[in-house]
Amino acid sequence: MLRNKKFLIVSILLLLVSISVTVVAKYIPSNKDTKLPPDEVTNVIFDPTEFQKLYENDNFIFYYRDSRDVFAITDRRTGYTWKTGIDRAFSTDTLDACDELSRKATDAEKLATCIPIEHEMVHEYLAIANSLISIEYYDATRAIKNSSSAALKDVTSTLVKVNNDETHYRLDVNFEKIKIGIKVHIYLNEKGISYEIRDEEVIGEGSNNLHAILITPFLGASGGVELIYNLEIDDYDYDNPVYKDLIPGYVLVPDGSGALIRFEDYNTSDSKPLSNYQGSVYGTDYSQVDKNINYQFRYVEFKEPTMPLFGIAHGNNQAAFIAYATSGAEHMNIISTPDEGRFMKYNFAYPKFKYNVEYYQIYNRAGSGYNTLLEERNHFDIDLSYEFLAGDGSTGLPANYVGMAKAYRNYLIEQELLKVVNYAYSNVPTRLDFLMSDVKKNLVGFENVIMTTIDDVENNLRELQSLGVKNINSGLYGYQKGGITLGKPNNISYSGEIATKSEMKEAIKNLSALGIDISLSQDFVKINEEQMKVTGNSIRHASSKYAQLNMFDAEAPVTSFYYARVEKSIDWLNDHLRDLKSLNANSVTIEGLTNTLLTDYTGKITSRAESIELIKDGLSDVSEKYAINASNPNMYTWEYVDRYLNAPVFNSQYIIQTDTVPFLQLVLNGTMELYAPYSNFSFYTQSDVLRMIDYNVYPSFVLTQQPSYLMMSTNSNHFYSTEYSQYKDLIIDIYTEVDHALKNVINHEWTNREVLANGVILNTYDNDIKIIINYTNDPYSYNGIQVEPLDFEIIGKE
Amino acid sequence: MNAKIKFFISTLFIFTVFLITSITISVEASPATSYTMTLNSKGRYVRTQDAYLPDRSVVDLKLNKPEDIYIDANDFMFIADTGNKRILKYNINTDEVDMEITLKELKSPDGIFVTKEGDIYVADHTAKAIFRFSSDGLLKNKYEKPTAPSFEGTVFEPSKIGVDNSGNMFIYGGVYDGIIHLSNSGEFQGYFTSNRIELSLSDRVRDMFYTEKQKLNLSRNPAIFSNVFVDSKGIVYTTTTNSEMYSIKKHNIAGLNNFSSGVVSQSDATDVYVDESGIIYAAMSSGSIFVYSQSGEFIYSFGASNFRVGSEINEDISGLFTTISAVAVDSKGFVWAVDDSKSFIQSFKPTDYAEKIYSALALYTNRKYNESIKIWQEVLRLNQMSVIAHNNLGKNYMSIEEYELAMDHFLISGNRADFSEAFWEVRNIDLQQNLSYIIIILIALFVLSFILKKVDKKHPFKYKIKTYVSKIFNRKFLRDIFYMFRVMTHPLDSFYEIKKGRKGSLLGATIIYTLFFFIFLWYTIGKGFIYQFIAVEDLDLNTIVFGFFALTLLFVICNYLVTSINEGEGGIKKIFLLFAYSLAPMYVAFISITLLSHILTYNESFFLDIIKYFAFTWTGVNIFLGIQEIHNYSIRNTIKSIIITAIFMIIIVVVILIIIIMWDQLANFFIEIIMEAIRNVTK
Repeated sequence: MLRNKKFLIVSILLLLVSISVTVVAKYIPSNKDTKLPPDEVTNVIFDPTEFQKLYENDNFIFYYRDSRDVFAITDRRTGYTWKTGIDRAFSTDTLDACDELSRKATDAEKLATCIPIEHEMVHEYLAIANSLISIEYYDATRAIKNSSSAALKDVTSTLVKVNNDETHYRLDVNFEKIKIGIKVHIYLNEKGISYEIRDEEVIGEGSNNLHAILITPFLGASGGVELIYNLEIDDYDYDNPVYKDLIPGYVLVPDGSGALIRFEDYNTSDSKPLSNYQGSVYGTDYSQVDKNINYQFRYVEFKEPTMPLFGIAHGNNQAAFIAYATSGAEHMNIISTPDEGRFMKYNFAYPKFKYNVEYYQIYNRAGSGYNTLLEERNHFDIDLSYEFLAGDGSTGLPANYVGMAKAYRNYLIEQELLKVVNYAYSNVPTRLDFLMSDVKKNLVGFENVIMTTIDDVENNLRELQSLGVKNINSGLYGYQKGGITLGKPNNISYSGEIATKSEMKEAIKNLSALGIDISLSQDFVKINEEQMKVTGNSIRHASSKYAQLNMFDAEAPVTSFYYARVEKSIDWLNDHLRDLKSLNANSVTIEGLTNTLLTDYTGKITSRAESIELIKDGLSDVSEKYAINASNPNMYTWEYVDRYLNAPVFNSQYIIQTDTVPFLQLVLNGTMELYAPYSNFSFYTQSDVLRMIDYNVYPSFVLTQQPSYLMMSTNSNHFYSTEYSQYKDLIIDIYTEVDHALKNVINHEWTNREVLANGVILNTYDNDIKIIINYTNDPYSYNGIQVEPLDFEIIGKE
Repeated sequence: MNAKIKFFISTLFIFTVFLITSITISVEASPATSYTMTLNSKGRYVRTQDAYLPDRSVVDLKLNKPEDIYIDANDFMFIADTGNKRILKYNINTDEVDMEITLKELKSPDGIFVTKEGDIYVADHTAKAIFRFSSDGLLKNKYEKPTAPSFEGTVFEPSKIGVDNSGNMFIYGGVYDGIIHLSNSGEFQGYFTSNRIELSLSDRVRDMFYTEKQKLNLSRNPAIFSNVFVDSKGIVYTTTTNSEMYSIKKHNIAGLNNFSSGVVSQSDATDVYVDESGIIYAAMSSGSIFVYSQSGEFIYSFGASNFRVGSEINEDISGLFTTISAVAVDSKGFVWAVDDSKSFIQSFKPTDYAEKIYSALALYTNRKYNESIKIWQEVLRLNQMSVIAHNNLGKNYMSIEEYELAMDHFLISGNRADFSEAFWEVRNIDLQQNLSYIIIILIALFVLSFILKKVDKKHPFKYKIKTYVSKIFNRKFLRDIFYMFRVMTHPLDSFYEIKKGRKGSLLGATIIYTLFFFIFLWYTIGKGFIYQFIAVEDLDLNTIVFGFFALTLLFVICNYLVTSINEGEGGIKKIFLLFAYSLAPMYVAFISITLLSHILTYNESFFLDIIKYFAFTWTGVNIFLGIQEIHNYSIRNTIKSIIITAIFMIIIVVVILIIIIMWDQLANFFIEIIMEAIRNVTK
């Protein structure tokens, strides 16, 4: 009996212990994770009474409400209706109507007339919230003011059918007071709706004062506060504004790998609301910013969109759209405003196209000057397509960020801007870059600090290959005299200490025989005065001064950089290739040119659009003979890029961004090789390796033969840890793990990505392989298959 | 004192030169949004491997201007939600609010502290009281203004509080230059510590000239405290604003500052938190968090202000702040910081790099040197430029008597004092090991010279060598050059010879002068590590060349101008000759100092100093005698002429500067006119 009791006590104790062991802290996702999908949205039945039906096709019915400039688009696949504005009457109209009611009016009559009104939304803002287009313009004092097509006064707008084509309408907007006229073409089609604003149709005396055009800023907006008529006090209850229910859903912005901004009301301090997300497509145009001399930030620079798009999803796989620019992208900004917004308690997102900006015109050497507008505003046509997605993907594309990525991918493939590639290898590739040298200051001039020689490169890569890193490509940085910072972009001058031309040729040949691709890397855009004459080579800012970027770097020998003119960059690229020809290299690594885009005010203005064409022409020639490796390239170069280096796996981490998603990776999957950022710099932990597998990116490292402290007084002093001997084992470990997972899906399309639980991701591929990634510290069980903590599992492998 | 000077130099470097990033290849791989910064081997503030990565942004607690947080041992975060007049108990691990304390009497709870027993102390400056709640949120005590006569007339508006293990309360608020100490029953025990008035240089100068009455009108207030914290061992820490050096203080029982030589910091410290192992985390209002070892050694800082020049809206990004009001650390080492402007809480996850540094520091403190070395080496793998790792490896190697390895690491970390110690040991060992050889060599040399003398007597060969040597040195220009050594020992006679044109030549003087420049250059860059305070890459050759030649030639010219109107007999050539020929002692000194600096440690530095001062004086005397002789001056006239020469030199420099500035203005004026004309024509 006693023994039994003891046994019982022991078993109870054991049980307790085992329970307490299994109770572990739950996984709390941060904004670097993808969270569970939003809740379902209730489908509000659309009442078309006040609307005029314009057109219908298999997928949509299009309506228009003339008084408020609102389009309503009912998706026939789900019955969900999108409105291009919030579709509310001006509060003053409602209040007037309400006041006019006779005292004898019944409660029902009162409620029918005294409908809820928007709280604290003056008519200018309400008009923007309803409008099809809104504008921002500079007034006489050069302050930025707003107006919109649905404004209460001083603006007229008329919708006309063009050429009697029921799919083509035009909204003629006339901002009478400021003398700007804009014609918006509206095309109704099987995918949704698209807008066109032609440059020659932005007219009027005031058109040079136009700062920006915003298209349907409140399409898909969620939130708002309203005042309800209270029968007891016989008036609107001004003291108790009612928050409307938020539509569950999110905005997708192409920030870094992709970010979701869920509709939330954080209710933080009203006086200092959380800032909105603002992205300048293809990066900031440093020729059109306030001053010609700019300084690097004291924090990590924000990522800028490399694709001209954004999307909004409502509910869980119910309704979504993606909007992408097919023209005018280079002047597009993507803005997503949180609920905390100062005047409008809405979450909303919209595209903004910039026409004119203010800058500082310097007139003497001391730097005195005055603010002014560009003499000639930017000229471009806007083409913006909205594709609506419906349902969970069983028919068509799912109404979530995966569907948005697929929609954009399909568009790019249709336009032949992307092509699915069939790779001959069966192991995933890895990128191992080498820093060969950089310069530090000497008593006279500069001294090359040699970090790696071509023999080191060859030996190390041979060793790694023999140790199981099967598929390697590598870029050599700073292989010239002058290293990374002073190496000439136009003609190669080999450094005997690193590699003579014949040694380089020999190494490329030897490694190529082993299947290892070596490419020489060069930045064709960032130039400095120690490297070459700036006159004639550097881009000029709108103020006609050279656009200059200064670093805060006490150790770097060179701290002022300029941007090379595109024509020059392309010339240098061609010179560079001429030199490369005899090396028999298969690929070339191009830095700068693929992700820098500036207007050039040298002589006749070279616009961003013209620069894009020049860059595309240049790259097109290169791509005929070489594979192109490019770091974080912009969309317009994708058709030529073979290896996407330094693919972002995070976003800028705005506080309003709730999730990080591999949107970029979903778009580009299978069309080029994508490499993760260098693992050297806090990207080597197990969660980071899992992220590579989750995001379908391949590992990459940057290496040197010598210890990195030798670079302390060079411009490369932020490479604190690169020595090969320190990294050999890590390279093999990470490669083996990523290869084990991703080799199964080479040449297979990544079809879906789902969040099974917080921290658990399921990726599906078109060969029926599923990879479950478990970021949490607990095991996860899926259909009877156990995924260990911080591990992944491949399902469906033969 | 020495440490203070060093500190000044390093801080001077830091905040004048802020290093951020470089170029060409982007290395923003990690999710870091701000850079982790540290001091490099030259004492400059530079980027380093990420120590912390932004983790969670807690935005949905609907906070309103939260002013303080505290994290207890079970990872419950207590938030003083000041604007909402409440205290929240938030579970970090489940992301849930566990308890909310709202009490009518709470007006603006802005300081919070939780004891090991779970008692929650809240400082409320509007309610002018300290509230003590039990762990389940019930009010236990309310401490109001102490009644002690010594506290009478003093304002009691507590806004921050720390409590030690016996319940003593350390309070900041109301009195801004002192920390109020209350017993566990709320009785006033006096001021635990107070800030003194720090006099700046200008203050001291003013003190010298001002009358007592004027001094009374000067408003000099001591730096004011901004926060107080008590760690688990009962040690009190405070933060002070408006003082960079003494912004973080660790107090002993008597209230004195343990970090008496100051810390590397900024002048806007708002909060301090200390974890179980004694690592100190200090938040700066502008958005950075500085981390120190328990002895106050600066490890790194992270986080940043989201302020962006030229932008009206500053983006809210995880890891950047508008203003930080409080910082705390949980049991896993995650750092939590509060932005009171934007009302959210941000956590930072320590990276491998940070965790390894902390564990290696702890091992060193516990005298586990070999284990510590292993971990420091892992730290180096993550950052080969890490000064703290190299430095600590050096110290560890010193402790296990691996002096040569220690030297290598001190060399990289730029730690000259410890390098010197290690070098002393190495040299000592070398000397001891090789003493026998040295003695043998000395004896052998002695014997050899003895034998040679004997041989010379029998078969004279010495004179042959002598004549051969003198043949070479008899060439005119060599004789002219070597004449400087004669000047060194017999200045008066030699200068007379020079004056008469019998000895010395312009060619010889020019060669001496030019050669001297190169020796000076070698002296500037070629000294041994511990005596070479500036690296080659940081030298500006132009300044050296310009400075050297301008200064010396200016002296010659000015002296000529001054003496030619003062009955001086020497022409410009003679003055140049006298100057060049006076340099011999400096020749000897610079060469020997540069050579000796490679084998001497700091223990023998007086030796080098003596050589230097001796040489300077000698050369000075030579020049003095030279001027006297060449110009045929009396001593009085010589002194006069040297003083006037010096004044004249200053005047010439000023005049040249004025001309340059005016020329620039003139050029600007014309450029403006031309540019305006162009604008008018083109428009």
